[in-house]
Amino acid sequence: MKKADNLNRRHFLKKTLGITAAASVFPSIIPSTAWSAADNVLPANRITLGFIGVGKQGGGLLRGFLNTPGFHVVAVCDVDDLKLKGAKDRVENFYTGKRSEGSYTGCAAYNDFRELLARKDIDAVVIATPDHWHAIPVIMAARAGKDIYCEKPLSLTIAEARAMVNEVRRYERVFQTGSMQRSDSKFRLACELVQNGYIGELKNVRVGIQTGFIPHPVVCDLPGEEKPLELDWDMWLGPAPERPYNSILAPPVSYNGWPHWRDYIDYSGGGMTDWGAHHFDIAQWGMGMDHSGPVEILPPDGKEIVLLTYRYASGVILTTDFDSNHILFTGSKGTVDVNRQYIRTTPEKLVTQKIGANEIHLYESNNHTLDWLQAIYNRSKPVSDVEIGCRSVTVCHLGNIAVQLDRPLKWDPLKEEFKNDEEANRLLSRYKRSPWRI
Amino acid sequence: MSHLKKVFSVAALAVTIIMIANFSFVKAYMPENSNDETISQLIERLTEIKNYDYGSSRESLTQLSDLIRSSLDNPELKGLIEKEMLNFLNSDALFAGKQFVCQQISIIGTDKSVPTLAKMLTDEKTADIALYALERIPGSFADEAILKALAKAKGKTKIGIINTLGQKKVVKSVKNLGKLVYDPDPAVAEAAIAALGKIGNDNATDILAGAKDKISGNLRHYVLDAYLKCADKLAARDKTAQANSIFQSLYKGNESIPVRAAALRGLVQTNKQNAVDIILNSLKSDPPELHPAAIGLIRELSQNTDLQPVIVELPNLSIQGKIQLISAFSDRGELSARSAVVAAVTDNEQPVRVAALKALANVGNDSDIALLTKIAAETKADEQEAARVSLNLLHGASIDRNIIAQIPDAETDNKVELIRSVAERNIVAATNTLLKTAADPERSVRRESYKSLAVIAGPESINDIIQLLIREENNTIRNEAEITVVAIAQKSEDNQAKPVLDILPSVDNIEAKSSLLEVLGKIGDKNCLPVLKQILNSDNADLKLAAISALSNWPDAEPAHDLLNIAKNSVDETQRILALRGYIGLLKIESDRSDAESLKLYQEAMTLATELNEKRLVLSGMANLKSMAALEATAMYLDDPNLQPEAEVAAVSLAGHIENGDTAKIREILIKITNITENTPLRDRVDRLLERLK
Repeated sequence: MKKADNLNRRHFLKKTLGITAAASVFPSIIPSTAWSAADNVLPANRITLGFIGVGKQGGGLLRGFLNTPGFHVVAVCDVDDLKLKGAKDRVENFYTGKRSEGSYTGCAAYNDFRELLARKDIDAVVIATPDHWHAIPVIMAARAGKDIYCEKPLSLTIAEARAMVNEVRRYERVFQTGSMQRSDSKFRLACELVQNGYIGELKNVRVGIQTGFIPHPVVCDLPGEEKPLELDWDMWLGPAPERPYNSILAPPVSYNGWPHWRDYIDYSGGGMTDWGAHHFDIAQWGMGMDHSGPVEILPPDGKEIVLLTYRYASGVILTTDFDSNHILFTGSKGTVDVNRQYIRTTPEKLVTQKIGANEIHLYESNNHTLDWLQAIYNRSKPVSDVEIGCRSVTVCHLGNIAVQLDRPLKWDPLKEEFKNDEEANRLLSRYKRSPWRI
Repeated sequence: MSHLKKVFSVAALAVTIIMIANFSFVKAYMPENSNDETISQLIERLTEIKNYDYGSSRESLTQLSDLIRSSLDNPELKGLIEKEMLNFLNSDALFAGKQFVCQQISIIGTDKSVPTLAKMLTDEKTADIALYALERIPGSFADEAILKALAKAKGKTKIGIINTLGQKKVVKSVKNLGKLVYDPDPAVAEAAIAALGKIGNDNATDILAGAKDKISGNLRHYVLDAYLKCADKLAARDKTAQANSIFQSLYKGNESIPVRAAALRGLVQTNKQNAVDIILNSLKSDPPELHPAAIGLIRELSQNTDLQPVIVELPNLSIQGKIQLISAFSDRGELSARSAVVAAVTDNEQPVRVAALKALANVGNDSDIALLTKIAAETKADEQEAARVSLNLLHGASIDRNIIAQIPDAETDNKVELIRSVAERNIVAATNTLLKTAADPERSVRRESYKSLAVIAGPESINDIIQLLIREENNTIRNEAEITVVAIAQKSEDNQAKPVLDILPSVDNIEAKSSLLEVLGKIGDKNCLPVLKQILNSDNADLKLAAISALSNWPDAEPAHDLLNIAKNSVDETQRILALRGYIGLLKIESDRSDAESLKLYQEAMTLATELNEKRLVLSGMANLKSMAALEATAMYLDDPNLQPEAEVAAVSLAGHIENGDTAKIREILIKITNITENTPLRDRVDRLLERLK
């Protein structure tokens, strides 16, 4: 960030938030009339949370976590000061509104996530930043001994996803990927029906990714605009290539839609990693491929291959379209079709099928947030553990890479590299703008 | 002939040679020609991109990517493209274009790109985009060029170069990086430390070992992380002893909990034969903050590991420790821990008891059926739920058999729990047992039996269940039996109502017969309609009511006319009201009728309604229509104080769904609602609709 920008920002921060722009906003003491004696001391088993990214998705998550007993939000972080202030106010209003006496130390606010991570009193973090900003805070949070809830898609590249798994494992952290369809009983039943052979031998899977974003991300050609004072644009870009500010990428607090950074390759994998991270995740679950992936990826060739196609070692073929929104499993004896609105089967009666005790029962979670909380208490792996997030996002990235290179690719899911394709292997990772690294 | 043959053969050979020659010529010429064409297109695109800046159309960029993509299988063309892109980088093109071209070079660039890119490293403005490409170009030539640039680089460029050396694991850079570990700029030192951790060879490990003892403060955190990575890499290279020694030093030292936890993990992984002792020792000697990490490692041990020493330790742990260890046993399916888990079911702390109950699903066996059943029957809330879930999921070849065997002699509450688990476990073999318990003297047992039979029993059992229904004297239980008969009937592919229709004439008991009529309505099989309609003419008022009720539940509007007749003509008030309600309900079912036709039918129903409840039902049905006429008809009731609230809701719903209506009229109605309503959320909705209508 330029010096002049820094000065302007400092002035802005002082004026709007009453703080200096030393990147952090320290907790304020709120003489609350609402902090009851019973609540004044945090129970030992309440998990203290820091939020990194409090925009559209992070704001929604914040509401959910505030209302989940067992968590206590103590800090928020964002590169947009107005969003940050909104989140801080919301947290403080929530807690002061719930309590009746005593003093409440307030919710700290930070521009730089590293300061939030440095706080030893924070047990866990919720990360809801744009996709290009997932890997670095996740890895640093793991090293700082925090448990982590990170939004889907897990990563911007395949290499990032694997690095995240390694770091989470090394430091024994509990990690929940935000692929919350795993906590929806419809999807679980669909996958249990498939895995238990109720539709016979699985033949193919259709994944429909209807999304408001460009399916495969493109180069960002948005013009530069005057940067708002409340935004630390250099920090928003972080590891992404340098470019001027545009409000489509980082919309102001008044914008209530989903921001469109997802359309651009420097920040996201497009629709493929947006809804793809949900629906490929379910496809992998149904196929029992949580620790593996496809062995071949075939982009549309205008001839036999009409749709982006994946082949698994089992022989199952997965095809992808962008004008429906569901996962359709087709077996030798029937089908299971599922999305967030419905589960339909042929034969129809399968929908009410009870899965017997000696059949395959998949991990049961009916609330993604509580499941993470339970896993933190138990030190177990939650329903969307980091490895699962890694494998699911890998399927999305593989599709993007095959389309980008426009040629069939052979994938080794064990080594996590392409077979005999140097150019494809180059796309497994990408340089991060200095000084950032994973 | 032989001469001719020879002539033809020679001629054929000659033609073939000419063809091959021509083909070779074409083959040799075509790619070059085609390459020339591609290159000329490429130059055109690059010329356009020269002035590309953020905000210009990306079309030229996309076309350039397409050209590159089409060259991927043509090494010669790829080389030519690389050359042209390097010329572009050496030109005075704008930054945005160069940034894009560097990204393209990152995919196809070779050693030939290295000098140009290396030159860009000397300029802070272009260093980052050059590194984007260089990081992906394999080979020592690129590595050495990056390393060479390190010497003169400063600030962010220097850090970027260090990061790339680490990412590419450039072994030759270790010495240089080693010096930078002590750089006065902490950001440079941090980058160098991280890069050494990624390279992780013996020299890098030695450097970090030294740094560990010399560096303090925030940087030390990075040193330890990098050092841990080196230890992992040593272990991967089978240098287990050295790796173990590093893990030992970090674990035993006075490091932070995260570092000690990671070191403990390394210790266990590099000393698997003593893993249990290491974990046990941690649980006994380490501060409690480390216990979760120690317990977590149990999940990673091989299945044949003898966990007895840790199992014995369970009672001595803290509440949280007990819960975590029990959870780890459960995740492993650790059968050897069963006794300890069973003992924990009676722990003083409720959360521990719940954890133990949950774990029995994975570590328990047949012997635990009775325990789980008893707890499910005698406790409430979390413990009951945990016991039930475990009883439902307990696995093993003989569990189902044992559950069936225990049902007959179980005490009432336990029997109910066992029967409940039969459905959850889908134990089809328990059908005969449940056909008996469905006649149990205890109502709770009968009710649960019907519920479970609905899940497990097949069409072959339907006659038995119908007989049970006929004999059932308690209304509530009979209702449950009705649900069961319907559920089982619907499992048949066709003639779903046949068993009920067959038996119906022989049933004399009016209550049982009424019950079977209800069943027919819920099955909704078209063969039932004539029977039900016929009973509408019955002299028996109870049967007639049952038939009206059955027809009211019909899945489509076919019996609507029959119900309307009763609503219009019956002298019996109960029959009249019930039929009218059924009729209004059937009108709501989607049909081919036009909205105008439906409105007429609703209006007719309104004239028949004498009670407020039925009038309200009519308004609620009218709300589903989408016509102006329906809105106006509904609005008439806004002035009726008894129906105003329902009329408001219906009118607002209609106003929201009407397309191409009379906007002025809709606004007038909505404004009236906003003036009279006491329903605040509804008023907000009206405001939004009025805003939309502007």
